[in-house]
Amino acid sequence: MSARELGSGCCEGGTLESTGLMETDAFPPAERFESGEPLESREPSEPPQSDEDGVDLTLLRWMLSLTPAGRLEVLQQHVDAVEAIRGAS
Amino acid sequence: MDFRRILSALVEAQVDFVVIGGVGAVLQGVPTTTFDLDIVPSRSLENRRKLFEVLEALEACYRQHLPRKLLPTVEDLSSDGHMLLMTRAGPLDVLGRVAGGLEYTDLVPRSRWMELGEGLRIRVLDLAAIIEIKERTGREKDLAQLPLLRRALRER
Repeated sequence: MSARELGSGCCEGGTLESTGLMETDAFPPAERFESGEPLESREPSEPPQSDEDGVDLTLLRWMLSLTPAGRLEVLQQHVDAVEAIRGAS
Repeated sequence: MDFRRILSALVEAQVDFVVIGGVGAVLQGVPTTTFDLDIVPSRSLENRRKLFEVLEALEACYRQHLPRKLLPTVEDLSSDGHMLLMTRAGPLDVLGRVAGGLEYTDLVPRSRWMELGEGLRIRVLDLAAIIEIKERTGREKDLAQLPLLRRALRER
């Protein structure tokens, strides 16, 4: 990544390098947000994230994608984390 | 809590048991959590003796009497009741019967073998049966979990 000048009107007289900002995908040029495209767009065909009872389907499907050993590891890590927090307080 | 340590100790001692409860649900993909391991063991004399040796090795004692350490006996393990134990590897509940009368022999036909890696293979009560047990007990905390368990069953 190389330092690039921002242009007039922004951090006048400064460069990306001097402002501490580097142009990356995380910090796109301002013109990318001027297209009028909504910040959030959702295709109508995308599956819902929760069901009618509020069950988080994304979490459920993630757990189902793991092996039984993987699921046990998730549980163990969760319990370990809680026990660590309890021990620290 | 070390689930794998307790399960490994039981398997290495060739104890016959079925995992139920929260761990059983998690192993079948339910994104929930629990802090104890629930098992329903065979209550044959031979199995009770094997289980007793595991509990001794894990320094199991009854949780409700802590800090006094009251140790379970081989005879205790023939009880229909629920033995709530604390071991060196965490809480372990040994249940004689569940949901109004189901014991190990009733649960085996409704359980499945699951491989947990490192040579660990255990019987886990099928998710549909776990749901039925929670429906039968009717406790608030069990009923609250039913939407999640039912959805997991549908999604598999």
